[in-house]
Amino acid sequence: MEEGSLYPALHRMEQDGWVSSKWELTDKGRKAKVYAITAHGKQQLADEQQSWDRLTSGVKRVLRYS
Amino acid sequence: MPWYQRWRNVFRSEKLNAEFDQEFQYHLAETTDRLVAEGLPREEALTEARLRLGNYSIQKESTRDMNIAAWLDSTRADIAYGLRQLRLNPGFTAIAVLSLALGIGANAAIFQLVNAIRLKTLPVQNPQELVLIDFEDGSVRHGSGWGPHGIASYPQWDQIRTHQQAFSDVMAWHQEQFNLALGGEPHYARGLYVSGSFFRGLGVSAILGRTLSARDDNDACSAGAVISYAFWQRQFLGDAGVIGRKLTLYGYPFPVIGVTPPSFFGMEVGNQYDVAIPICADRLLAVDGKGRIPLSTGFWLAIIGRLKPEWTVARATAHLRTISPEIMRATLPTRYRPEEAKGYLANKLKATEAGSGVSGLRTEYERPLWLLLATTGLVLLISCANLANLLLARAAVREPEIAMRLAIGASRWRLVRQLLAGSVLLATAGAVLGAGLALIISRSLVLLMSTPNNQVFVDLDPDWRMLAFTAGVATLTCLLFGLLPAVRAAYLSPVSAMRAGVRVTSGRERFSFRRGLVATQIAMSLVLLFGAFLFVRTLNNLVTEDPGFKAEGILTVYIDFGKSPVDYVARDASTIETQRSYDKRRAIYHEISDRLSAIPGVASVAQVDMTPVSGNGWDNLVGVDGAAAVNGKDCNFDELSPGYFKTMGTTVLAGREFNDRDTFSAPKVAIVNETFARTFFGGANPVGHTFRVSAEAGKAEPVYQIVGLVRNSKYHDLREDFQPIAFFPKTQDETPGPGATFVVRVTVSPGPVMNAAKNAIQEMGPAIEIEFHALSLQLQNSLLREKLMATLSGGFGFLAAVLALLGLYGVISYTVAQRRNEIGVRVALGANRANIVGLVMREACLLLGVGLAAGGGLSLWAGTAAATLLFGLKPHDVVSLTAAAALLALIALLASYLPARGAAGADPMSALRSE
Repeated sequence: MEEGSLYPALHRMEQDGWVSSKWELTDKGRKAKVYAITAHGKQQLADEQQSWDRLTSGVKRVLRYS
Repeated sequence: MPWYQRWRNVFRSEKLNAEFDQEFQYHLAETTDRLVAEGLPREEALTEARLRLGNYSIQKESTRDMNIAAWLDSTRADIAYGLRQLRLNPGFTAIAVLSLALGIGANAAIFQLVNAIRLKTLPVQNPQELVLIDFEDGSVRHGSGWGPHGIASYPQWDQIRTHQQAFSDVMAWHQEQFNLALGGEPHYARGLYVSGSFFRGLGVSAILGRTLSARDDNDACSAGAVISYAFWQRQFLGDAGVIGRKLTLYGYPFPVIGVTPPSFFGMEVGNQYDVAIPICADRLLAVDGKGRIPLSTGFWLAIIGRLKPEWTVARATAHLRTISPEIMRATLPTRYRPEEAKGYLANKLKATEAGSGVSGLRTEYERPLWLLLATTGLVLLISCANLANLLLARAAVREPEIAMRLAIGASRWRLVRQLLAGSVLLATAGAVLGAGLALIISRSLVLLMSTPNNQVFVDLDPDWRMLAFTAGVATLTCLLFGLLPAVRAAYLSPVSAMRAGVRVTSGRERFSFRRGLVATQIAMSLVLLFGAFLFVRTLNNLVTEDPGFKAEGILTVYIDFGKSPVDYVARDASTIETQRSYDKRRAIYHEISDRLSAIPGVASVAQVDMTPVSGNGWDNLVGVDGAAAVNGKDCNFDELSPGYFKTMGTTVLAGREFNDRDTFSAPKVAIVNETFARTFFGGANPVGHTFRVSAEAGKAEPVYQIVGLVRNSKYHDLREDFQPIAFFPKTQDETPGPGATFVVRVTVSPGPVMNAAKNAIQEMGPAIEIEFHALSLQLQNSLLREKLMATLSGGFGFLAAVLALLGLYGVISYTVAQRRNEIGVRVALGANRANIVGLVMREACLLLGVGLAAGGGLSLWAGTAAATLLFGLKPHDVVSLTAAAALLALIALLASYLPARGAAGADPMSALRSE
């Protein structure tokens, strides 16, 4: 996985309002764009996690009976 | 980020790129630092960091895609590209935009008129609720009619008003000119008599003062006048203190009580009202002091109603039908004979939608305007075909480039969009410019429809319909001329285009499409030229049509002495007209006639009731040689003085003109025309025979002896077939009025004669009104519509022919250029000039032949649409079609001969060398 692929994903999430960003100056004096998760993003994460859990438990159940 | 930021980012991509760079650079710098800390040398660490990041450009691109509305971005790029292309070809751009602007402008202008005359609703409250109350076809209402829309008598209006239940309000009005001048030459205002309910019912309120109300329209009739905004501006220069100022209408003063808003022009589309006074004021302005209100056989009022909620037009009609018998019974004129009364009692009222008002202009011009819209539509199609041809040629030049882009993976849809972007820009520019042109063109057309006495007013303010039409036409145009070339270019096979290499050619099949376009253009121009010939020939037929009199040099003089003491003396103190007052008037007529004859430059003078082709008429049933007139045929009448036929230049074929011995006490005599003789006597000489004219109930039918036969002359208008006319001597008129019309044949310029006449008449007494018209001008003005059609269709036909020929020229030149090598070989092998010219011309003739054949068929079909507007020729007039085809063929052959001659003259060596 290339590290650069992070950025389209980040920007996509920013477009959807899951993360917010702001430009900050780091200790080394570099300008950096810092991303933070938003409330909407947390909700989304919880939803996704829940649906993932449902999926995996479903798969587990199928595997158990097979 | 919401969608609008993605849209905004399209237009700040530089800044966006810089941000990405910064973000990526930070990432690289941090990774490098970390790697250096792990022990890698700085150089290697940088390379490693880059490797881990992946392809820098691709990552940046895909990040950018997340931040931008991609379709909008590509559209922006397409438009920028299109603009650049257009800038690179300023000549092409100018021609394309200009021809589109002209085409779209002409269409939009004609549509604007159609819209104003036919589609727009009245600028009043809820116009869709308004319905016109009218009599059903075939209703019996003998008597006198006034005004273009007068259908009901005052008693009928009174009954309708009291009995109807369908309408929340019913309004009546009558349209008439009011003379503002006190004696001398009249100065007319366009007037309205309105019922007290009129303004309230329409929902029109005054912007200054108040409108007329029910209180103003009563027997006392003390009310004033409401004026239109335009009249307020024109006559009173927008004076804010206008309320209370006096307006003199036919010598009677009315105080101004209110001004209506600028948007309200009255009830008739095409005519703006100036002054409105209550219906009761008709009595005040009437010569006899009674006016038309008591008349049961005077039909002068138009009636409109506002539907109650829940009522439809159909329900209102049903309601009006049920109350009709009651209304007819209550208003039956006593003078009707039994059979007339039976017909009258069976009359039925009906309701028709009236949201867009009433209009004589609409009746006269609706069909011509739709035809003109079709004409301009065809012209636009032809210029679209030209543009498509040009674009196809340009696309052909770019074929290798397009093939290359297809080969390396461009999507066809993307290419079509890019090619279409240029067309969209052209169409947009054309539409904007065209809309501006339309505003000018439509105003000039309205001026063309107006005469000094009949100023046409239509509301030309652009509305949503006009905008939608222009936008629609522009879109259609753009698709027509842009889409096909674009799609064809994008769907070429890259292999074949690239194989062709430097020699830019297109396949036979592709080129045949362009030839098809040219043949279509020729067909459409033939239709337009044919139409132009039809209308020009119609106008010519009408202008050269012998009206039966010599209009040139005839001055008609209208004199009204009803407001002058000259006539007051003629009437008794009680203003009741007596035999003595009639005698006095006959003497006044005589004096006027004598005074006019004495003016230098006047060859002869005669009095007449109605000048021909004035729009006035008088007719009744006639029976000859003792037969009862009731069962006879219809005949037109006029009254005139001795010397009329001599003055007008109408030949007396048998018998005599009237003379001074045909006095009031002498036996009643008449002169008839040829059609009268043919209709009633089978063409035999009618002189010496008698005829009767139908009379009202209880009165004997008067008998007239025919003393003369004259040549046919036109009565109502120039377009009609000759009708039977009987002329009576003015001297035997039983009830002469205070107005008289004279025809004066002048041998010098009319200006001095008019001045002398004015002085001569003023000498007789003050407050005598006098008005002049040139009869020939009156005739010309009656042909306004024909002139408009001939001018416009001629202009458009010419334009269409020029456009089609340009198309033909282009295609033939292109063929010649394509076949340069072939022609070179032929010349080298011994073909002579004539062979080569023949070769090229054969192609042109083929296109011309196909175009003319198709166009001929179309023309015959289109001609029927114009049938009602033609005069003296059939809708499938062979002469017009032949002339149009011959003209088109002649210029087309000339247009293709030029490139053909060029081809034949080319040096075969140079052509072959380029191979």
